[in-house]
Amino acid sequence: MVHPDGLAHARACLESPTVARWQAEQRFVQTREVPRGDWPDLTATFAGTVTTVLEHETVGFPSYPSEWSPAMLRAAGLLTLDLADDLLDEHRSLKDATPLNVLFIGKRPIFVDALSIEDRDPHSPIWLPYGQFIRTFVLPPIAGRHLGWSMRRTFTGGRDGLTPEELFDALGWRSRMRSGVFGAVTGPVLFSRIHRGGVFPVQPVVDARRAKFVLRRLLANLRKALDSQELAPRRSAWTAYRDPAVHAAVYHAARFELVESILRTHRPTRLLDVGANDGAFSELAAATGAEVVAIDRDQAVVDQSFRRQKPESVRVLPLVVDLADPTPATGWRNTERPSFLDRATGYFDCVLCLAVLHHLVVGDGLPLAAVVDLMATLSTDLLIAEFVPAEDPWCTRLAAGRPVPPERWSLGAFEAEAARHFTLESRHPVGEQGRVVLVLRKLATA
Amino acid sequence: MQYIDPGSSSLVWQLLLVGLAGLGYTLRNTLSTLYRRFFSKRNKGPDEPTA
Repeated sequence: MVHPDGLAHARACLESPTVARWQAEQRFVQTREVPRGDWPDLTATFAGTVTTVLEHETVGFPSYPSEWSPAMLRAAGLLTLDLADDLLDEHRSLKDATPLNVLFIGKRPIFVDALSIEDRDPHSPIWLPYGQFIRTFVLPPIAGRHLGWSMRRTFTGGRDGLTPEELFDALGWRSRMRSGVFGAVTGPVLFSRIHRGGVFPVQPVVDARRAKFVLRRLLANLRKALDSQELAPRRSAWTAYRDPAVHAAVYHAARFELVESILRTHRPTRLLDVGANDGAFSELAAATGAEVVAIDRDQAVVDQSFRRQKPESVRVLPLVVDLADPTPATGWRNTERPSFLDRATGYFDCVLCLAVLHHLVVGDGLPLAAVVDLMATLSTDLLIAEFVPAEDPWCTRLAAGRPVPPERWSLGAFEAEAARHFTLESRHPVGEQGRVVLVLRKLATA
Repeated sequence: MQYIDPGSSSLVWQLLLVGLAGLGYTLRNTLSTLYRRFFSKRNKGPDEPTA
């Protein structure tokens, strides 16, 4: 529902040839104006303040920058710059530049804020969202690279990213003088100290071509700032999970073949892959026709998963989410951006958790019953779980020398808890250390 | 004249970049004009009148 203040922006969006072209290319959300006779009843609550109603396509599972990897943030930033650049020729621009304007359909970013389009003074060489773009798209990767700050830390703490002053104070002089950092952090901070606040006179540019040239240079400069942060993927303890030194190749092959067989039999529609690592099983599920959300608590493997995806496997969305501490609800009255659990509940008909549950129970110390309850909340039908016994070396490592009593973690205890919500459809041994893949189906509720 | 309260160091920096880009535009156009004039004079023979 569009307030009178937003009507001009709504018109700019609906009448823009660039937006129409972008919609055909599936880079901008499909938007239509709803005829007055079809307005929802809710407008009675806002009678007199609603000027028009816009309807958008459903983009699938929404996600937020705190759940993205650096490569995903960069893709969203490039999309924003491309749109701002394309709008210049029709004397339009974006009124803001925040990652919250972008969602992902699998690997593909899509611009969703239809009211962000506005008419532009053709003689003005200023792009007012410049500062916001720097704070939300350029500075977080710099903080990640030089300070190890995760995207979750940056964006859960504040939706508007980081300021140059924050990074300037946190970085040493050597980092401050690096080429990618100077233009985004050091230069602005030192130059603003010289300026010492107050208004700035800006001469309007008589020649509109000159104004457009300047704006294009600014956008190219921002693109260069994003490119300067493009790194080889970071390594972590989990990026080498498929290394034969970690697990035998024969184990990976056997598990892959088994899960493929299970997925082809059951063909889930929407699958949540918990502890997805590099996304190999997520892509397997997508190949059987599922829309997949692949979550892992390790940012490096999610980044690896996003980078490795083939363009055609657009139905896998990798996100950085720790089920032991999932993304909270944020924004105005904690309703603007729902929590991960609120978004996920009721969305998936299958949850895949291969060699994950022991991390939650043994590693994080969560009660087995509570973990099983969570799986029952997340899935409306199937649960495909790989049970790792306490004697397994990787489980022993998680226990860190503490005993793991069978009532806390054992196959019998897991199946007993699962029986409160699921029936066991099949059980498949995999590997040589007592690992078992179980296929469970949700009990029909009365 | 438009007056902007930048409100952020990034926007102040942008104003610097805007000025530099504007200078670059002027320089590019000036060089382009000079090149065209030089090239057109060279193409005219010694007996042809120049504008």
